[in-house]
Amino acid sequence: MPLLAALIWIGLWLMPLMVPQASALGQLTSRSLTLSSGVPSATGVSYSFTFTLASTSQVQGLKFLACTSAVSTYPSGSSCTAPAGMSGAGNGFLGATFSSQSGWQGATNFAVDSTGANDCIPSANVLCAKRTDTTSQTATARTITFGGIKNPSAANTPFYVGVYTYTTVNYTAGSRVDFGATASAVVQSLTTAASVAEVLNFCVGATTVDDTTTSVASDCTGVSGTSLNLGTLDSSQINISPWSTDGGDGNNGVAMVRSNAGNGVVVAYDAIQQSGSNHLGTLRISGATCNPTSNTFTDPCINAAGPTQTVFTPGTEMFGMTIAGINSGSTTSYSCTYGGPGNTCDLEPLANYLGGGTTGLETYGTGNGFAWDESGSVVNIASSASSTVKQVDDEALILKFAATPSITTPFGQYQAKTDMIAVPTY
Amino acid sequence: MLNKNRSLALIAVLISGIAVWLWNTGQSSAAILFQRSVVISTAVPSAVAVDSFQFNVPTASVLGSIVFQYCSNSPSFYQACIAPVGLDVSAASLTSQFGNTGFSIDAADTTANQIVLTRPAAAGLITTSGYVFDNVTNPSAASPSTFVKISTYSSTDGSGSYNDTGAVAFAIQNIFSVGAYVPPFLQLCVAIIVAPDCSTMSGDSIDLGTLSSQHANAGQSQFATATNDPTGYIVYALGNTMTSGNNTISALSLPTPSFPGTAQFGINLRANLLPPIGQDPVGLGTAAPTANYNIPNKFMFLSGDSIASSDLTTNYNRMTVSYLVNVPASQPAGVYATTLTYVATVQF
Repeated sequence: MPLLAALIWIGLWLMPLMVPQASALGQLTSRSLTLSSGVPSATGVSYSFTFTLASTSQVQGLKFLACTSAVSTYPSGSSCTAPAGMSGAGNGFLGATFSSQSGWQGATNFAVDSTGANDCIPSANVLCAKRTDTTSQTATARTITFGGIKNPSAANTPFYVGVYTYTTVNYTAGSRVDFGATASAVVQSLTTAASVAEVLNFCVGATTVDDTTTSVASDCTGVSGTSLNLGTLDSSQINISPWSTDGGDGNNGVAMVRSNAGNGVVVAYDAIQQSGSNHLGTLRISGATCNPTSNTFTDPCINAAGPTQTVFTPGTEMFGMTIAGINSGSTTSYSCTYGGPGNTCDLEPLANYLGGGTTGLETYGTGNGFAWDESGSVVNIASSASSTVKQVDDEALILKFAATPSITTPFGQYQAKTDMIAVPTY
Repeated sequence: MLNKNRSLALIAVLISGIAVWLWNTGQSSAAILFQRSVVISTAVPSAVAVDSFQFNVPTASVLGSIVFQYCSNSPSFYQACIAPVGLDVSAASLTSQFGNTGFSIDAADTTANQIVLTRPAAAGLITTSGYVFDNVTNPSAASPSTFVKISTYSSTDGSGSYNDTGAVAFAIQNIFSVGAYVPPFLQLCVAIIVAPDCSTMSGDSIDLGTLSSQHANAGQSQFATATNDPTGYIVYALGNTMTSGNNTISALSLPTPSFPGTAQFGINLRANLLPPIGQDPVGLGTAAPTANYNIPNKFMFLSGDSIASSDLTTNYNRMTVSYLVNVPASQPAGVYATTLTYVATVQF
């Protein structure tokens, strides 16, 4: 009798060893955890779990257990310590929401279970999800993603998430089917810093280019010339650059700009005041005395068109300048097509210096007339400040000058001088 | 001895490390001066310019000095500055300031390519600030880019670690000239009828009809003239009186009214009533008939006389030449004619 009692006692002792426990669970394979952000304490992070089931039984419950060690996530593991920052209200999985799933058999999606039961009680490091769907599974890969998670707080520290599958929606221990541990880490943000120096390349010269596409020069190093010649003026005509006959040199003026100023770049001019008296900034015989009043056609100063754009009439003495268009032949950083509703250049001629068309519907040419402020004041003629992109890559203003004499304009060699200025605002 | 050297080396390394740490600490707190720009009054090489700086101060760091360093090579604060050739800001004067104010030029620390502004150190204002410098001599050569590094300091002389920084740029450009030539010209057109600007002309002869001792015979022609000669022009009439073989009609040698029945040949350039012929000059020009031919109702003709002139550049004037012929009853019969030539001269 004592022997029987002893056998029964030994049998009771060994019985638990004969009941399938953790070692009987299937192993999730090809498992991984992908975080949408590895920044410590980042919020709204998506955790995407990928694994292949070992069992083909139905899966109606999922448990995700986050610990500081992999062993702690095992079914028979030691006590789980939640990763730093994955405990307490508002942390870890407590704000998690179901995002998506794929590869699962059965049409019903999982949902975060904020109540839980039995083997799965939600907390900051325990996430429960369930669905009511008894469809048998295949031993194939699948994913499930949850959003709204707050990352652990310790930088450069790994953490582990054990994944459990259950055949029931109430996570009973007996319905636990497969298990596998995943690992991830949040890391210190790495900041790579660099500075881009301020850039301004601005040059003025003469060019035979008379369109918006032919390259004036590859960049400012190829722009040259300090003058252009309108040739011999005749009251029966308007000499508009490029003027190639009667002594004209066939050149336009050009001002090329490259700037990375974030607030745009403005191109301006001022008329150099020459020697002589009165009207020193217009097309004039240097050193001559001109009438103090304007609109006189008998002095050796050809009337300046003034700050307001004017269409010239042959024989009515006038001198001026306009921007025929923006040349993009040297622009490589972006597409710059000047004119019309498809204007994609960053520089834009300003009022009174837009040669043709209207802002937004520009045309290449001089149909709008010319302007010239002889006072010596700085006059803005083009800018990228109003462009969506304010940086400029070797866009070139094609500057056209024009003059016509009166019948009484004294003979002689006339000259106007200009000072071109670029003002980038960084 | 060896231990002493090692100690000294260790101290040196520590000092260097501390210095680097302090430098890095100082720079790492620097913020960017944003919305920054410089406007130069002229981009002409070697010209004396006014440089107007503007930028937003981003921090309230103690502000005791601002340094404007002009460099030809780079806007980077990590690169040594190469002074632009010919640039001289040593004589610059601060003509205006706004935003963070109270500055004056620190002459002791200002150099040919660096302006140092100083004031008693005080907390900076986070605001747009501007500084205008007069008497800045531009670099002597054209360049597509010249940089100015701007940095603020807590110290009053631009020493120590800077607080806020930023660079701006401008370009130096040669003067661009536009040339044109206006040629000398003299425009003269002569015909029976000419447009005021010589654009049209018609006719080259006048038929005065049958001469009579009872009334004057008259006719007219026109010429128009303009010049851009600053000394103007003179128009001369050349020719003879009216003749028919050896018979002539005497020309009037002085301005004389018409007397039918006497031998008279003359011209003038005015509108006349006796006889009713001619027009006064028209046009925007400054020319006028010369005195002897500028009296209504009086005529004369002397070959080679100047009949109209302007003493300065002039637009077109159209003159109408009236021809008067009177004959006595004894005037021999015949066909009387003459050819007159009008010549305009200038002194270019």
